[in-house]
Order: sequence, then C-alpha cells, then structure tokens
Amino acid sequence: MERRDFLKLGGIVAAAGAVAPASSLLYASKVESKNGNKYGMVIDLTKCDGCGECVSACRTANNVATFPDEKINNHLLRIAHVKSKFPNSQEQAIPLMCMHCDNPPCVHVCPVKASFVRKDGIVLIDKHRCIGCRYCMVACPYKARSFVFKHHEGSSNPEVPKTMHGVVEKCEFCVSRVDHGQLPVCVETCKKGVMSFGNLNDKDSQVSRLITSGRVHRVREDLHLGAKVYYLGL
Amino acid sequence: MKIYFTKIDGKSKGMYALLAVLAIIAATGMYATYAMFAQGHYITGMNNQIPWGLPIAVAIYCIGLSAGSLVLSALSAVFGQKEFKPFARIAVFVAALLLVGSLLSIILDWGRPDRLMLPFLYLNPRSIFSWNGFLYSSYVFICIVYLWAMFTGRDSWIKPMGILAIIWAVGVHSGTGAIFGFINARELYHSPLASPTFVTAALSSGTALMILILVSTFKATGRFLDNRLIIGLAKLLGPFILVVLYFVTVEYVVRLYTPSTSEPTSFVLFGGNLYTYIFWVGLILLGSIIPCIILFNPMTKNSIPWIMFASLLVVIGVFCERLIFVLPGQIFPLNLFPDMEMTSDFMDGVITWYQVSVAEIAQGLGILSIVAILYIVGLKLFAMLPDEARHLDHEL
Amino acid sequence: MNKFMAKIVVLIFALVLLSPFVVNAVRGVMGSSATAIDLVLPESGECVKDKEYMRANHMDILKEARVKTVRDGVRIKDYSLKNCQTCHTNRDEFCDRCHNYVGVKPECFECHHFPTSKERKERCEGN
Repeated sequence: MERRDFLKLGGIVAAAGAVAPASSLLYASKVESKNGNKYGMVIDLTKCDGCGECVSACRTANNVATFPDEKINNHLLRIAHVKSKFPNSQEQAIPLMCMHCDNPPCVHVCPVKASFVRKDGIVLIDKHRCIGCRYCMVACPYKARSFVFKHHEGSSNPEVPKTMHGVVEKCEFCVSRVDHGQLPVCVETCKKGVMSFGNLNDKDSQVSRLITSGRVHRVREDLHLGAKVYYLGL
Repeated sequence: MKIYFTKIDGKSKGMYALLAVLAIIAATGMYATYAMFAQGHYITGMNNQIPWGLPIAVAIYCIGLSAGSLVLSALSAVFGQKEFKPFARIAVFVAALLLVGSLLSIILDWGRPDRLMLPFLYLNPRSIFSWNGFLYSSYVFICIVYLWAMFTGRDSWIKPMGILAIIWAVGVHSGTGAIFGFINARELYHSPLASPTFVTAALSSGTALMILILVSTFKATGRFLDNRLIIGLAKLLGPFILVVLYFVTVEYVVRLYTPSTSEPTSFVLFGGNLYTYIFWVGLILLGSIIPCIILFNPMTKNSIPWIMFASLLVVIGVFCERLIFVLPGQIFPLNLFPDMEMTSDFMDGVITWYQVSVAEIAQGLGILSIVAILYIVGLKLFAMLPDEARHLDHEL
Repeated sequence: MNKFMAKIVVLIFALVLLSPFVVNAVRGVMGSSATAIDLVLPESGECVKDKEYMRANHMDILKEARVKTVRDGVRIKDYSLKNCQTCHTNRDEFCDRCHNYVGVKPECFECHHFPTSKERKERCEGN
C-alpha cells in the first residue's frame, strides 16, 4: 500500500469526526428558517374528465420508472375511475397521488427516517438513505408508493434525478420545482384547471379559499391522517 | 444427577453427505439472491401491489421458531422443570441460529442490503422496525451470553439470563407481530391481537420444531433419549396449539362480524382461493385439529412416532399461519373509497395474486440450509449435546 | 490434534480478515498502481474552495449539501452537484479516473444525470 493511500485511509477515519462539523460552517450563515409555508393541493373533480395528461407529464418530468409489465410499473400519480354500486351510476375520474399527510403512516414506520415530513409539510423520501424494506408501501393506505423493481434508464428529464433499483419512490409535489417557485408539473399541465397548489397557511391563497368554501373532502378521512390533498366534489 | 455435555464426532459419511447437500442448497439460494440484485427484483413474485412476499413470511416464521426453542431452555432454568436440563444448551443455540436465519432473510429482502448499518445510525423511535432491529440483534447477543454462562458453569448467571432471555423473547415476538398489527391501512393486518397470536404461534411451532430436532439429532448421533422427556414436551405442545386456535378464532370472528372488514375476511375464509385452502387445510386441519387429536388421544399421545408426526404437522401449520398473516392483507386491494367500485391502471380494486417465484423459494431454502449447516458445525465445535438425556426418575 | 486444528482455523480466519490489506500491500510493493494519475482538470482552474480543500473534502461538502437540500429544501447553488458539473465536464477523466484509482464507488450518477456537452451548452444558454 502506498503511503498516500494509507494516509487517505486515516483521513477517512478522521473525516468522520473532524471534517463533518467543520463543513457545516459553510452553511451556518446561509440557512434560513422556512417561511412558515404549508403546501397543499385542491383537486376540483367536477372539472376533471380523466384525460390523463397530468399523468404522462408527471412520468416525463419525474423520470418515473416505467416498465411494460404493469405489475412492476411505477405510478406517482394515477387516475382512478370510481363509481358507486347503484345501477347506471356515473363514473368519476379521480387523480390520486401521495396525499402528503400531516400524520403519515409511511413516515412513522420507516426504520431509518428516510421518509420524513419537511417543514413545509411535503412528505419526502431521502433516497440516499432508503434501505428498500418496503414497509412504507405496506403502511400507506393510498398506495402512493412504488418500489423500483429493476434498473431503468429513465432520464427523460435530466434536471431531476431518477430513482435507482432497490429504493422506493413517490409523488413529492415536484419539490425541486416548488423550491424554485414553480408549480408541480401536474398542476401546470392541466388546462382545465382541475388542480390548484398553494400555501395552506396563507388564508388568501386559492387553495385556502377553496378549502374554506366548505365543500372539500379528503380520501379516507376516517383514518385521521391529515391529508393535504383535498377534493372538491368527492 | 450430573449431565455430561460432549461434542459430536462428526466424521461419518452421512454427515458429510448431508453437509454437502445443504451447502449446495445454500449456494443455490445465494445465487438466487444475487440474481435478484443483478437482474432486478421483478424476478421475485413481489410487485407494487404486494411489496412483501415469501422472504418476510420465512423471516417471521424463523423468529417464531426461535422463541419456542428458547422456552424449552427456560423450562429448566426459570420454571424449575429440572428434567429438561439436558436440552438447555441446544435449545438456546437453536434459538440464536434461527434468529440469525430470520435476520438474513429480512436483510436479503431489502432493496439495498448494503445500507445495513443505517437502521442503527438513524433510529426512528416511532417505527416498530427500528425497535425490532435493536431487539433482534440484542436477542442474539443475549442468547450467546446465556450459552456462555452455561458453558463456563456460571450457575448463578443462568437463572437471571434465562429470565432476561424470556422477557426479550416476548419483546422480540410481540414486536414482530406489531409490524403487522400496527398497520391501520390494511384491514387484515390491523389488530391488537397480532402480537399475542404471534407469540403463541411461536411457542407451538418452536416446541414442535425442538421435538423434531431433538429426536432426529439424538437418533443420528446414537445417543440415548428418554421417551418421557419428549412426551413431556408433547404435553406442552397440545395446549399451545389450542391457544393459537383460540386467538385465531377470536380474531377472525371479530373481523367477520365487523362490516368494514367482513369482505376481506370472507375473501380469505370462504373465497375458495389458495388462501382459503391454506387457512382451512393447512392451519386449521393439518396444523391444529389433527395434531390435537394425536396429542390428546391416549392411544397415540405416548408414542414417539405419532408425536413426531404431530410436530411435523404443527411446524407446517404454523408456516401456513405465517403465510395467512403476511399475504392476503396485501392481495386484497386497498379500500380507498369504501362502498364504491374502483379501477385504475395501477391495479386498484383488483385482487392481484402473489405468484411465488423459483428465486424466492431458492432463497428461503438456502437460508434454512445455512441455519442447518451452522447447527451441525456448532454441534461439532461445541459440547452442546448431553451424552444421554435421562429422565430424573432414573436416579431413584 | 484439536488445538492444532483450532490454530489453523484461527489462522485461516485471520488471513481472510486481513486479505484486503495483504493484497494492497503486495500491489504496493509490486508498484502496479504507484504511478500518479493524470486528471483532466477544468480550464478555469477556480473552484468554490481552494484545490487542496476540495481534494480532501469535496465528498463532505456534497454530502452536507445533499442533506440540506433533501431535508430542509435549502438549495445553495455553490455546493450543488449540478454546479460542479458546469466546470467539471469530463466525468471519465476526472471523477471516475480518480475514484477508480482510490477504489471508491460513489453512486451519485446512478440517479443524478451527468449532462452531455450538448445539454450543458443548452443549460448555460438558458441561464
């Protein structure tokens, strides 16, 4: 072994203790507390005809793992067709995604805290930390999460990372777009104005106004998860 | 009565042949595991609807078996049943090995087993998985200390260690049951009875496995084993089976009675599908009723071959119970819109069957083979087995 | 006999345990990888920190940036992986060559995209 290599080995050991706190200084001045936002979405089902443009936009924009075998094909956003059991009842198209619960079971069960709720209420997966145990998929009542079952070359959008084989992915409200002040792709794509996205803590935002109109429901409110995706006309 | 523990000779051709066969199975299993990571997990039967398949069933099965074997050791050390003292060492050893097997099965089931250390670095106190990671690893450690105390003749340690191991075992097995019991989203998982059912099923399957292991090991090594000891264990096995049966009955009756859960429950109990057969034939008939008839019937309850047969049925029956525990809860679709019909291109509202794949079976068998190899090697390296296992009465 | 066997088992165990060090030491003595490697450095020659610091600590900076970005949503351009790629355009002869030399396998680009020269040009024009 080269002396250099040996020193490097020592350096790695030392780095664990010494360098990590030192490098946090880089950020000390720049970290600002988030400005009290809490993001949520309102989906107006009376306007949705289930065309699926949001779904295909989502797939492209988020490099969703796509396979021909529908059993292992991943979905961050999907359109469910729901109808009551009465005869001749109308079918309702309902876009479903991660509901970004305030009290998310997936985050509670994660053994490594790879799933977490960000300060602004967005539920995220740290894919660098996910061990792929899939307990969150078992725990999620909305089936919002998908496991990447094999390697895929999904780089339709080079701006955001894809998800590697062996970890779990889900809707993240297009978090990098939101951080840069843009809307999630599905909201931006829908020309019928079905989806609106915004700050629930701001009482003048569109989402707040729609929610306080009193006609909104959430999927499976009986579970008391505090979902932040609201539906008009559910 | 002094008990002399000795190593096995381990030089017979039969043993080497057995080891070779086990090694081949283990190698196949490891190759299957490698293939899962090289080709992708789509070669397993798991999919986005059924994220947990056979490996999880094997893992919780091994954990369960481990409890039962530990109880056998505690019988002499803690509960004062001195006649079972000859089995004290081997029981703890098997308990530790089975837990190692279950850990292997869980970790190799992860998508990223290379991130093994992360659960220890980032504990999530709200996650039962996090607690289990701690409980499982410390349980193995406690078993090893317990064994060490027995080997080095630290008699004063044995009782406290036994008590600690029992408490830990209850924690480990309740924690494993709670993995499922805590899941509110799935009607067939969510249940406060999951943990007690798990503990009792662990006791019955573990005792049955120990009967099988003891009789076959003593026979293979040509050591004397007093029939009364096995009959004594079989006397425990019968009530254990009845308790499991009781818990299962209570659980399914409540679920069937409640309108919101009756649909998935009747899917399992009366759906006429594979799981209906696993439940009625595997768990109830083969795993509970026939063993009970054998173990409580005066004609057969004192016959070693019959007890062996009953134990084998129990071991199989509890595996069926584990399958029923893990699978139907995922196969039956999630109920997002109660009382509505739902379809989508993500298998919503559709029953998705779990087709177990060759790779998963090979992996499961491989892990069990590794446990068996470790068991044989352990017998050869350490003085686990008594020279002869006589009932205490022999002294008189 | 038994003690002899035990010694052999311990010896084999120690050998297996030490094998990576032994292999490395033998390689070092043979001098197979002792030559310095040529890294293709970016033209501008300036980085967010000085060269020596970056050489030793870039992984920690990236890791820190990763945690801040993912967990807190604090996106600081200077320390982002994307910002590295604006100057460090040659992955094969810079990143990979050195990583291969020191025998580490970072997984950044399993998921994150390393832009092609065309994409990089578009990105620069876009800004």
